Amino acid sequence: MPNIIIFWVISALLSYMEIKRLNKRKGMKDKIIFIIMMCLFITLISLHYLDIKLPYIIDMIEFVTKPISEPLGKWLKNFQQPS
Amino acid sequence: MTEKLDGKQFTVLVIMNTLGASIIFIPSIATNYGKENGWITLIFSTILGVFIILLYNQIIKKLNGKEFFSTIDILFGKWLGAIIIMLLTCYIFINTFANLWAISDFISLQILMGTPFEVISLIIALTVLIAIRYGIEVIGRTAQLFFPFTMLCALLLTLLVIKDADFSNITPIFQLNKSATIVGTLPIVSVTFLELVILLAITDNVNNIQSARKGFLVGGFTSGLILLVITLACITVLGVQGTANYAYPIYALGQRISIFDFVERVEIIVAFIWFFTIFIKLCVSFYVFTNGISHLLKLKNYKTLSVPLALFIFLASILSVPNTFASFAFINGAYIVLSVTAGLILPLIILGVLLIKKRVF
Repeated sequence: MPNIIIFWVISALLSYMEIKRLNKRKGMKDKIIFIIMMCLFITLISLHYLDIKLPYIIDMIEFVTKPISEPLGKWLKNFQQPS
Repeated sequence: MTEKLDGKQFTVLVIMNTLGASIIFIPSIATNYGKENGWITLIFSTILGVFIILLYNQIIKKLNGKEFFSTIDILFGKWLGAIIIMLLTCYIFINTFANLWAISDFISLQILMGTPFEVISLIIALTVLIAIRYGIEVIGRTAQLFFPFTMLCALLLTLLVIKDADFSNITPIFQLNKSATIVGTLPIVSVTFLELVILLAITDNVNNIQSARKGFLVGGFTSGLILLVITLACITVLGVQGTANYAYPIYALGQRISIFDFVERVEIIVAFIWFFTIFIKLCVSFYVFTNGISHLLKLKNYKTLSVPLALFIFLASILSVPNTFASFAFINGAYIVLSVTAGLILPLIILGVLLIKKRVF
């Protein structure tokens, strides 16, 4: 729990600084996209700190590239001979 | 005001980007394949790398100082252009969080033992965030400032272990494991030279196209040479078995430094080399990543998304790999596919279309 509170404090500080900068520039679209993205990533990181298991990224990448990477990995393994 | 880099700064950025993550992993990967010929694998990789850089140089020539992502949009149209930029930004994102994971994992395992991985990763992500908000020109100047110190550390590392070198470790030269020596170039090129595709997105910031092309070639060749010398030093000092089995062979090499029983355990100079190179690499990758996403979302300024995307790469570094073993399997499999797609196939397509539509440019 202390981890998540520290993270929220850092995120709030960063958001405040960026919103202040964006207010000066008067870019509504920029502001909306910034808020959406901040909400999304803060939620995801909070879920991680609340011990909710999120998938590993390389598992997702390996799933996508599996048709090529699996045979390639096996082929390369033949050349990684033990000493 | 447009930020500008000069030729020297760009050359330094090329060297820092090539050495970034690879300086610590390459000796182990090369020896895993080529065994005593691991250093020959590096020679083949550098030759192949020079050809890859020549391809990138052709793209730089055709771009003629125009912005990379905007040119892709013009060349391929709205939708196909967006898909290509998305593929490239995905690759840059993977590269960024993988590097953040690599340096954080190294620090938490070797230097700040006991400090949670998340703390180290967040501090580095925030430092990179501050750096990119200053812009590419500041990153270039920082790289130029730290470059002599990094090179001095690399030189010291090589010179101080030379007395422990046993050149019988590299014999017989290219007599055994010939095919493995050649095949080993594939993972090496994918973690070194193919990653340089990221730098294509900042070539419009270089004040002279000719110096950008020269910088690409000189930087790529120099870093190949540095990797070759370090791999050779690892094999001759640590032996084939030692180099292949250590997760961080160059760090183990630093631990061997002993001068008159007076200067001992100066392996931290290895950490210095890696901190500087990977920090610059992270900055450049993250800068290009935020620019790519901002271009896709048609935002006015890349800084807008820098904060949420820094949190994103922090999260991705935590959720990147379950353990170090999985990272090696990733480098020897899926990452090659990604690197070849983003670093070779896409640039070839872009160059092909640039040549066909040369009237437009």
